[in-house]
Amino acid sequence: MTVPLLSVENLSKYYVDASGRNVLAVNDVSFDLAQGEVLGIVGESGCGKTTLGRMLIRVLEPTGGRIMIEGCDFASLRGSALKVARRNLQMVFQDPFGSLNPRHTVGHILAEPLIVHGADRTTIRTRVAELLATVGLPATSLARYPHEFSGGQRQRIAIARALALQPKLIIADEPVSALDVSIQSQIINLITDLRQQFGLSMIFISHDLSVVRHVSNRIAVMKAGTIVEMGPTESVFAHPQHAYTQALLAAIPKVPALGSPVARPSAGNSRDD
Amino acid sequence: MSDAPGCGRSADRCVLAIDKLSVSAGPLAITADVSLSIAAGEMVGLVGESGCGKSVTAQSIMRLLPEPQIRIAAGRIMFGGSDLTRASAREMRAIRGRGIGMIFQEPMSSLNPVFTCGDQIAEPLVIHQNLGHAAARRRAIELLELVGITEPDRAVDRYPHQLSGGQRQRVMIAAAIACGPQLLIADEPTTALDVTVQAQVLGLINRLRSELRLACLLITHDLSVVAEFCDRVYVMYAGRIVEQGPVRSLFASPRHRYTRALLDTIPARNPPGARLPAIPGMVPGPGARGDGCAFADRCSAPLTRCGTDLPKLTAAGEARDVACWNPVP
Repeated sequence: MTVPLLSVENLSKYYVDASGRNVLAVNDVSFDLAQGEVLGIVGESGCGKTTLGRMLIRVLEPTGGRIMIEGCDFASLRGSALKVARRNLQMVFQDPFGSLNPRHTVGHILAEPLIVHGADRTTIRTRVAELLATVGLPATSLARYPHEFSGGQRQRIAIARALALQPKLIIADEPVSALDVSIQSQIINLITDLRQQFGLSMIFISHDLSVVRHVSNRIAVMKAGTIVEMGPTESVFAHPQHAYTQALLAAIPKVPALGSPVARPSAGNSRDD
Repeated sequence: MSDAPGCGRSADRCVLAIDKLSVSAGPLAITADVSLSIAAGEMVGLVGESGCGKSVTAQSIMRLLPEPQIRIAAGRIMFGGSDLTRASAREMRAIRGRGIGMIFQEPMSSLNPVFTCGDQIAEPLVIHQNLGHAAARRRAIELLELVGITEPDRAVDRYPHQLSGGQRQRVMIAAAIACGPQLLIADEPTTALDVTVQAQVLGLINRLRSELRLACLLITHDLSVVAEFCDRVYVMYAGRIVEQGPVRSLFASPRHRYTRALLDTIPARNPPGARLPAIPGMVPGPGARGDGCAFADRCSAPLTRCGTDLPKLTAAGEARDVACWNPVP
């Protein structure tokens, strides 16, 4: 049996609220992720999906459970071993305005992870040029600052930064929700291309089911800190088992297809509270 | 004129009729020749990417533009028999909140954090209807109930931070409709909300529009929301209306290349896992739009004249208008 790239076992995160009670942000979550697989995590605000993502890169310490990366316990790593392991896990955040340092040039932003991990000057220069080309930005972007770019371009920069160290796993937390529809599709395509090109594995966190459906092999639906349903994308969409998944799917507004019949009851009265 | 199809082309049924509105920042045109009308009980969508001029159009109606830096350069906004572009500050104060209600994208920043929900719903009632404190509070509770807040008599004393995003948007709606406006403008009302809450909030707006015969202008970049809730839709690009028509027919057979491209990018309209059609490039800003069609650079089927001649909005089928030299057949 091959060891999965990522194996999450009974992962939990509790917070203590003002009155001293435990609040379960993530409760007993387990799943495996194979090499080259994209797992979509969907759910509404407050369901724990972002907390889960943050624990995976150890920005947050779990209260309980294990995170195994290629069979090795990530949570127990300290110091240089942790630094080495972190190369393999990179994150792309929702807000491309908040996640890039406004005072650094794009060249510096892309070089930083390489500097931190001790690459030499020549390697850095070639690698940064390579990264820009990979995400479809012109080479002239190097000397420019984040504010000179649009939202979609900034998200490309953030993706390039995440790719800099050739990670095995990328965790993307709502990477397209801050973008316009037309730009969204460009970034979704870029992600799909990168997957095919580099065999990237990915955890794609989003509240938008139609986006998740497009990029993921498998979907995990989260509610109140737990995974209520998990399965291959198409089977979850075709035959949702859990009532919550059914409710989520029912809430997506339906877009009529091109050439669909025009004569339909007035759009207005089809739905209410 | 091919505006006002929703009003059966008779202007007297229109609650709002915008006629050739142009907004400019100094010499730069931000929007140009925008004509748009809404009848009582009609939900009209205004869609387009960021920077197309949707919010500027909404702010012009409410006269919330940061004048004089950005101002109405030409055109009329007819509401209740008067032209809002000529209304004085005093007249506008009487219209905002009474004749026209507005809700915004982020209910947390549009509600005042130091006042209770009840205070904020009561404020327009006190100002416009001279209600006393107790009467305004009673009415606020009724309104909270109308917008589907559970235990309205308790919610009335809560502060915005004690409510969820969906509840806050309901409170915003309660305040916006408190004085019985004829027109409700909703500028990206559900963009910040979860999909299930979005469905509830839009369902609420929809219910109010039919119960109260409200004319609604729904501004959004989300075409699927328009598909589900609107009767008619205007598509805006680079400051101009490029296509207009009933939602069903426009979505089934878009004529403008931009509308078609926007619809094509929707993930749900594509087979799962397939490469999504994307629109190359970006919306040109004011001052970078040239003489011809502003979409020509990104268009899939441009003609030579597209770069030099501006297409006018012309009739294209039943109650439809399009501004394109080479429309989708």
